[in-house]
Parts: sequence; structure tokens; C-alpha cells
Amino acid sequence: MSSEDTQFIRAVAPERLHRAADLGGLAFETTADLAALPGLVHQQRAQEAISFGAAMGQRGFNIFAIGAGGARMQHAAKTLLDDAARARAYPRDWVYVANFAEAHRPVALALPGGRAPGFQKAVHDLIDDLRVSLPAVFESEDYQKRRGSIEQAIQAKNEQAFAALNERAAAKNIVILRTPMGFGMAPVKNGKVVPPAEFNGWPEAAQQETQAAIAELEKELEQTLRAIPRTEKAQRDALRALDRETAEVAVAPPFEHLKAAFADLPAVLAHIEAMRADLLENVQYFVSPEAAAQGAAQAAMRLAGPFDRYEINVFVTQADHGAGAPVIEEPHPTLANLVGRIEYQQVQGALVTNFRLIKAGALHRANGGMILLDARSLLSEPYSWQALKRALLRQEVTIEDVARFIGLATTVSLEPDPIPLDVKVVLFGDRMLYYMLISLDPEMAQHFKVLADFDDEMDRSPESEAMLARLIGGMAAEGGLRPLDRGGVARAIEHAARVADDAGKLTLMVERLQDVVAEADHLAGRAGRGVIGAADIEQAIAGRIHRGARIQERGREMILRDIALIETSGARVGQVNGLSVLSLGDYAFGQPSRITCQVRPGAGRIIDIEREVKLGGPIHSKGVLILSGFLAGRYALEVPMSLTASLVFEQSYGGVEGDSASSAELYSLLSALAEVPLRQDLAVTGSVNQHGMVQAIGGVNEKIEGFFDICAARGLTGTQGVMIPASNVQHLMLRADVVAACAAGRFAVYPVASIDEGIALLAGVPAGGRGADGAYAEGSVNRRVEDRLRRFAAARREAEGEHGEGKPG
Amino acid sequence: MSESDGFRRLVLDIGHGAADAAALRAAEAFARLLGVELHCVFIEDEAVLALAGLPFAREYRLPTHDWSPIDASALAAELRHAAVQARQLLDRTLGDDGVPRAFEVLRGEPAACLAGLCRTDDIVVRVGPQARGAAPLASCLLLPRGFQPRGGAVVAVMAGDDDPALEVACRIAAAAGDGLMVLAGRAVDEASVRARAVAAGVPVGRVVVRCVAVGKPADILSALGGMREQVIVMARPAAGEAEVAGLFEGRRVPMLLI
Repeated sequence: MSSEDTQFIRAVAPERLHRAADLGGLAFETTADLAALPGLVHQQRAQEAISFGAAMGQRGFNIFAIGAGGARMQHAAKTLLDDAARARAYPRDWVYVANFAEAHRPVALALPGGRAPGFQKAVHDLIDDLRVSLPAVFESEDYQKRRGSIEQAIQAKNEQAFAALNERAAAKNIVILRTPMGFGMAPVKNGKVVPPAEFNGWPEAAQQETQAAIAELEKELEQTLRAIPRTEKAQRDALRALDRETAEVAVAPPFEHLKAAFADLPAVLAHIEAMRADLLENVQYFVSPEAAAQGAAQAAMRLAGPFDRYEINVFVTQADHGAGAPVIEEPHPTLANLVGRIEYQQVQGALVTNFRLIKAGALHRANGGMILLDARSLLSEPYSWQALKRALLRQEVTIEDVARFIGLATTVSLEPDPIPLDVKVVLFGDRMLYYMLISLDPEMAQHFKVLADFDDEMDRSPESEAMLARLIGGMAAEGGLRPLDRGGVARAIEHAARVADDAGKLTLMVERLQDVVAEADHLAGRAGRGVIGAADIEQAIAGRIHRGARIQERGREMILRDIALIETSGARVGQVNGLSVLSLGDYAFGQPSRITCQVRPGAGRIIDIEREVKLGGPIHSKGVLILSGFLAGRYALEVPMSLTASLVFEQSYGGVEGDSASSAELYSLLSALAEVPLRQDLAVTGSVNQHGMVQAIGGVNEKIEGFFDICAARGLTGTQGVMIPASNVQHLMLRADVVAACAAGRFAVYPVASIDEGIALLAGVPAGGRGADGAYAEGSVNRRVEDRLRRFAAARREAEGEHGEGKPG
Repeated sequence: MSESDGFRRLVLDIGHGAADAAALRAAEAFARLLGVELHCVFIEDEAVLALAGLPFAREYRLPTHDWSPIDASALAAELRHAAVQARQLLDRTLGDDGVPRAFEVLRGEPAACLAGLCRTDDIVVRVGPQARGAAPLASCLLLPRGFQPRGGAVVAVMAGDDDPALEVACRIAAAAGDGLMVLAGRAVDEASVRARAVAAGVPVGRVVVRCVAVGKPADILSALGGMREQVIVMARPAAGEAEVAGLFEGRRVPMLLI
């Protein structure tokens, strides 16, 4: 066909249907010959943002890195962050120690980085030494003598008092008897106790004298016995003072030695002194087996021996990592993993704990450095996001127990000192999540002032292709895969452009490329090849398509079996093949849809049947409304629109969204109005604006291939093809079979810039322009449309005249 | 000592706080070393029971420190309960570790009961310097209050060659695996003492004989000096335990007077 409108629409040249990779400037046989690219590739903006955020010391300049999934942001950013962390000061170690005054409030002590294990060992060794040396001191001759002397003195005092009392009693012929519960007194005669019967036979005077003597002696007995607790207390005090003095002498040298090792740390020295004081108070645990056993029984309720109260809980130490600050990744940011936890164990039905069961979280380990968190994982864990913000606001980490949040009481709890926090937080997430947070959470902007926006793709050039080749080679080497040859690299680069859906771009979502390369490696291995070639990459891509194509093939089958009616030859009035893309998971494919239009006189309304039944999304509805604007702007400037048209996607029973079919809808509408048939061997995609300009759409490659597959299955006629927006030609990265068919003249892709161009190609009739008289050319599509609308207007006026106020059509 | 040259048992009065857990353990240790039974007694003092018959008698009760009238039946019940508690203390403290033991409740005057119970081959254990009960015929083991059994040399004080302290001290030293220190008066044949000690099972290298004056406790104290001994074995002084009280209080070690 030819027309003044179509004469300039030529099919896209085959070489523009698929842009081949250009590796001519890169000399290599396989990727093993290429140096890998470390860190970030073509992410200048994100790289600068991360470097800035990492260097920024002010509060709130934490980093939120956003990008599409598969961009390996975290992996790439970590290299930058590791470099920045190396320049940071070496963070402090933190330990928890017992609070001897308030046992439930363990004390946090800071030490210079790497010194905590040494402190722990030194204290442990000191206690171990004292467990041996203190008992020896208390078993020494000197101590035993002094202790014995004290005990003897007190005992002697009591015994002397008793002996004196006994003597006084004996002088009065009275004896003091020991009863099961105390003491009594009885008269004696000749050294023997006088039986009651005999006593009762004594003269009254003798009895009374005896009673008087006993009464007096009872007072003395009472005084003597009441004095015993005082003397015993005096003994205990004296023994305690002796024990303390003995212990002080014994513990002084090891404690002085310990203090000397940490003389530069006042807080540690203070704790050592508190430890010494507590040890002297509780020296019996070291000395007496019974006291130690009792203390052990009590301490078992706290899951610790009596000596464990002196041990050191090394909470965080830098001893195991190299220079600079830590960079910690927390893949599972539960509240406990983030801010630490207090562990409990069950003892006799109760949950008990002690300061040694306090465990550090990721924020503690990252303190002084950086922590990397996945934003979605963080938000998915209860309380974690709030806890992180609290920690950043207060600049300290408090260990928070989820059980308390949800009302579960624990029998023994701790309130450890919070740890001061100085950490750079780097969150990674997708764009939608970031923009939702920034708009809905006012604290988000307060704490995450640095946005690192990772590009999804880069401009395609020989230089960027060479960069991608090195990146792919590095990924293969890192994954232990076979190297790729030049063909394999080229094919992978072309696939990167296809993933970017743009011949002029290359995707930076390298995980998708990595998956393809991994599959190709497997195929190459199965075939016994030592390198991955283009055929392996091609086969891997085909394999992935095949695995996801079941629904696509079923849809195609329905079309080929005429269950879903799609014509690929002939012409129809008011009917056109539209194209849509279906996305199922990570697989997308195109398929044709029949779009039809019916017109009649009416009130100027275009009925979008999809919208009427709520199957049409807002963008789709917008596209249809634009058609009204186009019609009115072109054909109803002088007369009102007297048209009612209904548009529908035939045999479509699911939701329809997007405006990429709006040009097809307009073609079918114009065809219906002009009563000119449209070619069914062409499919159409492209959105249209109110001025009739055809605009770019997405998924152009899938749409073309979807229609091609139908036509190829039925047998290519040589006239079939797809009309695409001219602005989409730059996105073409079609399959090799499609390119071959186009090169052979058996299929074609037509770039269309305007509705007039498109209608002319579809109808085989020029669209027509307005002449000097303002009328469209005779026989043109526009003329026919305009004439038809005039007839509708007349019919409507006639109908309204007959019926008074006319009803809408 | 009996003609068989051995002891039969250790007799320990454990009533009314006369002996506590430490004393039981110490007595048991010596019973094991001597290879004898530990015989514990609880004596229900008749005089105590008779107190209830005195119209003016009352009891000063501890730990409440108040005076209470004495009820005979209550007092008897308390005595019985005290006996039970004493038995429980014995069982709890010593467990079942192989030293034969017995427990007996007696009623009467304590000293007379002990004297009546003990034979010449018994050893009466007395805890502390004021412990009651003198059994004239029996040997006597004086234990310091709160004494914990310990290692150290066994000391025998011999006034003459036929002093029975040597044999007993050798038996204890051999059983304990410890050394023997003999403080021998001038009349003692040193070589004979060594030979007898070795024959009794004390390793030859662990026998020390020192010829010193042993007539007075002060002499013995001086001879012992800074040594750490576990027991001093000597013949019972004719004048009684009071004569050795100074030695006992000075060394604060068990003394076996035979």
C-alpha cells in the first residue's frame, strides 16, 4: 500500500531492531583475562552520597540507600564503607561488671579497644589465685593462733564467769544444772543434789535460806547468760576484724598488681576497688567450705558461683578485628539481635539471670563504626524500627526486653547501664519503601538525612560495555564459575540491555545477570566446555523463559485455536489488534488483545466498558478520556460532539491498566466513525495525547514478540507487523528470530509518531489534512469522521426536535 | 589399759551441748585411727528431772531469756526430745562411713553414769577444759572446742621406757600415715624407742626422738616449740587433767591421756 501519509513510514531497519554489543575496544579471550571491578560500578551519585554520609560526623546524617532489587547495593556499598571505617578511630571495648551495691543494675565500663579480654583474664586469674592463697592464709599458724586466741579469750571469759558463778553457788551449797532448754538450780549436800523429798523435810528456816540463796544466784545466772550474746558478738566482731585484717594483707599485693595494669583507667580502678571491698566483706566464701557451699547454693539461684560475681562480662571487644572501626551487617534485625538481650535460665521453676548473661546486639558491635540493615527486614520485625530510632535519638543503646513490652513478667530482671552510642546507620531498601517512610514517619528525615540513590541502569557505550564485561567476569570468578568467552560476554551484555528494556542502556541489576551466567555455567559444564559461550547464555535465557512461559503458551494456544479471537489477516471496521504486557512474578510477556468500538449518535460520551465494570484502572481511564479530548479538539470545534461510542477489550475478563493501548483504541474509534476497515495483520501499541501525538510505552519488545509469535505460529504472510511509537525505536532489543524475519521481509516494525500516520498505515487511506477551506480532504479518514459526526449531530437534533428535551444517547 | 593392750571404744557424752558436730567429727577421726568403736551417750540427769519436785525451782530458758516454772512431764518430754536430737546430730554429722558406732541413753548422775559405763579399755572423750564427767579408770581424750582434725606429727611423751604412750602413739601415727615425734625423758633408751616405733609400722625416716625434760607441762610446751602436731599422747598425770590444763590450752590440740 502507499499513501501520502504512509510514504514516510518505513519499517525499522533490521539493524535497529537489536543493538549488538561492541567489545572491539576490549582485548581479551575470556573474562579470566579481565581485571575485576571492585565496589560500585557507575554509581557516582550513590557513591558520593555514601562517602559523604560516612564522613559526616554530625547527628542525623545516617544513610538510606535505595534502588531496585538485585542491584547488590549492600555488597557494593560495603566496600566503600569498609574504606571509610578504616579511617575511623578504633572504638572502645565495653564490659559489664557486677554492681555490688545494686545487684540488678550491672555497671557498664569502657576500656580502650582490645583491652577488655585482658582485663577479664587478669580478674579471673586474680580470683583463681585468691581461691588458693586466701584459704592458705587462713590456715596459717599465725592466723589460727590469733583466731584461737580470740575464741579462747571469749570462751574463757564466759567459762570464767560460769565458773565463778558455780563457785559462788557451791559456796552456798547450790548447784547449777543444765536443762534441755536452759538452766535450773538445786540445793546440794555433800556434793550431791538434794532430792525434793529430803529438801521438803528440812526446817523451814533452812529451806528459806536456800531459796533466798537460789533467788540471788538466779539473778546472777541471768546476768551471766544475758552477757553471753554480747561477748559472742564481741567475738564475732573481733573475728571479723581479724579476718578482714588478714584478708587485706593477703589480697593487697595481687590487687595492687591488678590496679597497676589498669592505672590509666579511673573507672576500672574504681571497680577494682569496689571488688576488693566486696571481697573483704565476703571473704568467708574463700575461706570456709561451709560458707562457700551455702554461697554456691544461693548463687546457683543466680546461675553463678559465689566467686562469679567478680568475673567480667566482655560485652563488646575490638580485639578480634583489625584497624579502624567495625562495619557490621545484621541480616536478621530482631529487637534482641539489634539492641542486645538478657538471657534467662530456669532454676527450680523460676527464670533467673545475672550480669554475665547480658549479650550484645548488632548496635553494640557496630558502636563507633557502621551498621548495615535491610529496611524491609527492619520494619518487619516488631519494635525494631522504634528501638533503632530511640537509640539514635538518645545516642545510647538500652537493652529492651520484648517480654516486658508484651506484659510477660520475669521473676528476676536486670537494668543494665545503657551504652553510649556513636554509630553510622546505613539502611538499604526499595524506592517505594523509602518514599513511604519519608512521607509518613516524621522521624525518618531527622535520622536519615543522606539519600544514596542507586541507578538501575547506565548509558550504553563501548566504555560501559567494557565495564560491564569486567563486572560479569568478576562475578563469574567470585562465584567460582567458568569464564566467559567474547561471545558469551557479548550476549550477556545484550541481555543486560534487554533487561533495561532499552537498547541504549545497560542494567545495573547485576543479580539478574549473575543468575543467567550461573545457569550458563551449568549448561557449559554439562556439555563439557571449559568456558561459557554465547550459546550457553542464549540457552540459559531461553531456559528461564521456558520455565515461566506456561501461561503465555496457554494464552497463545487459545488464540491459535480461535478460542480467543485474534485475526492476523484481513481488515475490519472498528476493530484493531491492541497489545498488552502481562507480568507474572519476574517473567513478562506480550500478547495481542482485540479492541473494538461501536458508535452511534449521542451526547458526546465515550464509554469505556472496562471502566464501567470497574475492570479499568485510573490510568487506562485517563487514556480513554484523552480520546474524548482529541475528538473534540479535532472534530467538534464548531459543533458539539453528538457521539456515543463504546470501547472494549474483547474477551478480557481481568483488570486493564495503563494507557499504552489508547492509540489502538483511537484507531478503532476513528475506523468505526469513518467506517473504514483496519488491517488485522498489524498490531498496535502506543499511548496518544489530545493532539494526536503517539507517545512512548513500556514493554515494547515483549509486545512485538507476543504478536510475532502468533503470526509465526500461523505462518508469516510477509505483511504482518507491529506499529510502535517512534520514540520507542531506541528501546528495541528484539529476539534473533524476530530480527531475522524482519530482515527477510516477512515481518516489520513500524515507527509511528502521530495518529494520522498510524491510521493511514492501518486503513490504507490517507488521514487527510484541512484545506484552505478548513475542510479535510475528500475521502480521507478525517473527512469521513467529520462527516459522520455531522450526520450524528443532525440525527440527534432531529431526535431532540421530535421528543422535546432529548435523552442522552 | 587392758591386758590385750588395745582399746575398746571411745565414749563421748553428746548431751546438752557437751559435744557439737566438730567434736563428733574429731572423735570419729580418732576412733578410726585407733580402730575402735565410737560410743555416744546421752545422759538424762536425774537431778534435772528432780527439779520439778522443788517448789521454788524454775527454769531459765534460752534463747528467750525468761524464767519459767518447771513442769515435770514437760521436762521429761524435753529430755527425751533432746536425746532424739542428739541421735539425729550424730547420724547427720557422721553418715555411714565405716566407723562402728553406738548410741545409748542413760539416766542418772552424769559423772556416775560415765564412770559406771566405762572400763579401763575405754577412752572417755571430753570436749573443752570444763567438760564434765571423770571416769577414773578410763583413758581420756581431751578435745579443744571447735577442733578440726588435721595432719601433723603424733607426739608421744615418754617418761620412761615402759611408758604406754609410745605404743598408742605409734598406732595412731601408722594409721594416719604421719610422723612420730617422741619426747623422751632422760631415762629412755632412744635406740629402743626407734626400733619399737618402726616395728609398730611407723616409717623409719619419720621417727624423731628428742631427749628432753618432760616432767612439767612447761617443759613439754618448750620442747614442742613451733611444731604442728595432731595429737599428744602421754600417760595420765597422777594429779589429774588439771595438771596438763596449761599444756592443753597452750597447744589447743587433742591430748590422749592413758
